[in-house]
Amino acid sequence: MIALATKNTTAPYQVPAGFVLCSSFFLVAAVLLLALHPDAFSSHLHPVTLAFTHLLLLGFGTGILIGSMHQLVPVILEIGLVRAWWGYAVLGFWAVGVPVQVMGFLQDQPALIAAGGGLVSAALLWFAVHMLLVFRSTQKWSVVATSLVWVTLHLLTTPAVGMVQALTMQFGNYDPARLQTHAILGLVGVFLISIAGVGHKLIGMFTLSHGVKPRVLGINLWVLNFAILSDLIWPAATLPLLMLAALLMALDARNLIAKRVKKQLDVGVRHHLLGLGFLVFSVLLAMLGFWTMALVGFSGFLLLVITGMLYKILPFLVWLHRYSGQVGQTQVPTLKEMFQEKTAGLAMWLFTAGIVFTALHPAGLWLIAAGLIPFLGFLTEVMHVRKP
Amino acid sequence: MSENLKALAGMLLHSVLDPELGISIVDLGLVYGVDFEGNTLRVTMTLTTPGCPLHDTLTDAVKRTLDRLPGVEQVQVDLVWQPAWTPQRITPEGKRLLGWR
Repeated sequence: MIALATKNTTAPYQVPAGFVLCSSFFLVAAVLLLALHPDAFSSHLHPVTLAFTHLLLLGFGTGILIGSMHQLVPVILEIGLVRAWWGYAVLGFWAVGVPVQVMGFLQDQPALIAAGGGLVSAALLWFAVHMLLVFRSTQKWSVVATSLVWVTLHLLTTPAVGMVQALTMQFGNYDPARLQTHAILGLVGVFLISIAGVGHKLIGMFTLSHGVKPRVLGINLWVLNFAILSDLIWPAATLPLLMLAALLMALDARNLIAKRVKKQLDVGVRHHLLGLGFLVFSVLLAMLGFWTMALVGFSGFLLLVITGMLYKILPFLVWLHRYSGQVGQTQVPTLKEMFQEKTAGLAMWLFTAGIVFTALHPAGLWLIAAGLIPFLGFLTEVMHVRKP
Repeated sequence: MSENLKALAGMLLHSVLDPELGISIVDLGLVYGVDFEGNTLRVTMTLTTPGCPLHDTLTDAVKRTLDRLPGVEQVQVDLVWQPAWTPQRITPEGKRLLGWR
C-alpha cells in the first residue's frame, strides 16, 4: 500500500464566502437594472447594457469563478495555496472595482470606467500571480489544471483589452472592433474554458463518476482556443468552432453521467445539464443571426450553470467551516440537509422560463427576477448560523 | 485486544458519513482494515479520489469516533492510494442508498 500525507491549504472561509455574497448581490443588481430599463435591448452599447454585462460577467460570473478557484485549485492540484490571505486583497479590489466601473457606464464617465476597471484589473492580476505560483509548484498536472491555466491567462487578457478600450475612449484611438475581441476573450477564454474544465471536475465529484478519462475535455481546450484565435484571423470559423465546443461539453457531461456511481441527479447537476442545453441553442441562434436571442441564451447558460454549481459548492464550503470539526463527536447535517432542494428547483424553473421569455420579450426578465427570490432563500438558508 | 473490540470499531465507523453522499465510509468501501498494535488502533483507509477536500475531515472524524473505545490509547489513520478505490468496493447497503438497482 502507498501511504499519503498531504494536506490541502485552501483560502480562509471568508474569501470564497465573500465572493459568493458579493457576486449574488451583483446578479440581483444586474437583473433588476435590465428589467427596469428594457429599452437597453435596443443596442449593445446602451449604458444600461454595458452596466448589465459587467455586473453579470465581471461581477457575478467572475466573482463566483475566482472565489471558487481559491477553494478548488488546491483540490485539483493537490497542493496548498501559496499565500491564502491574498484572497482578501483580491476580494477587496474586485468588490470595489465592479460597482465603480458600473457607475461609470451608467453615468457615461470614462474616467470612472477606467478607475473601476483598473481596480478590477489589479484584483485579477494579483489573483493570476497567486494562481501561477500555485501552478508552478504542483506535481499533479492534469487536463483540468491546464484549463485553469488558460482561464487565469484570459482573466488577464480580457480586462487588458477592456482597459485599452476605456483609455482610448478617453484619450483617442478608440476602435470598436476591439470590443468584439474583449467579449470573445471573456465569454470563451474565461467562461467557456472554466466551465468546461471545472465542470468536468465538479460533475465527476458530485455524481461520483468513475473511470472517465478527460480526453474530450483535452480536445475541447484546443477547440475553444482555436475559436478565440479564429476570431482574430478567420472570423467565419468562430461560430462553427463554438458549436463544436458546446457539443463536446455536452458529450463530456454525458460520459461523466453515464459512469456515475450516485444514480440520482441532484438539483445542481440538473442545472448544469439544462445550462448546457441553453449553450447549444445559444450558439445555434447566433449561427442563424438571431444575436439578441443568442446572447440571452448564453446569459441563461451562465446563470443556470453557475447557480447550479453554487448549490454544491456553497453548502460544502459552509459545512467544512462549521461542521467538519464536529464529525464523530455529534450529529451533523449532510449537505443535502442544509437546504431545501425544492427551493433550488423552483429557482431553476423560474430562471428557465424567464430566459425563454426574455429571448422573446424583455418582460421575461421579471420571471428571472422572481427566480432570484428562491435563489436568495437558498443562500440565506445555507449561510445562516445554526447549532448542529 | 479482543475481536469484539475490533467489531465494535467497525460498527462505530458506520457513523462516519460522507457529507456529500450521506452514506458511511464503511458502506462506501473506503475502510481497508482495522487492526490493533498494542493499545494503538490502526485504521487503513482511502478516499474516492486523490485530493479530496474531505481528506482531513474524514481522517479526523475517524480518530474522534474511535477515541472513545475502552483500552484504546491512540488511533492512527493510514490514508493510502493503493489499492485504488473502485465502485466495486461499495457494500450492498451503500449501493442501495446510492440508488443502484
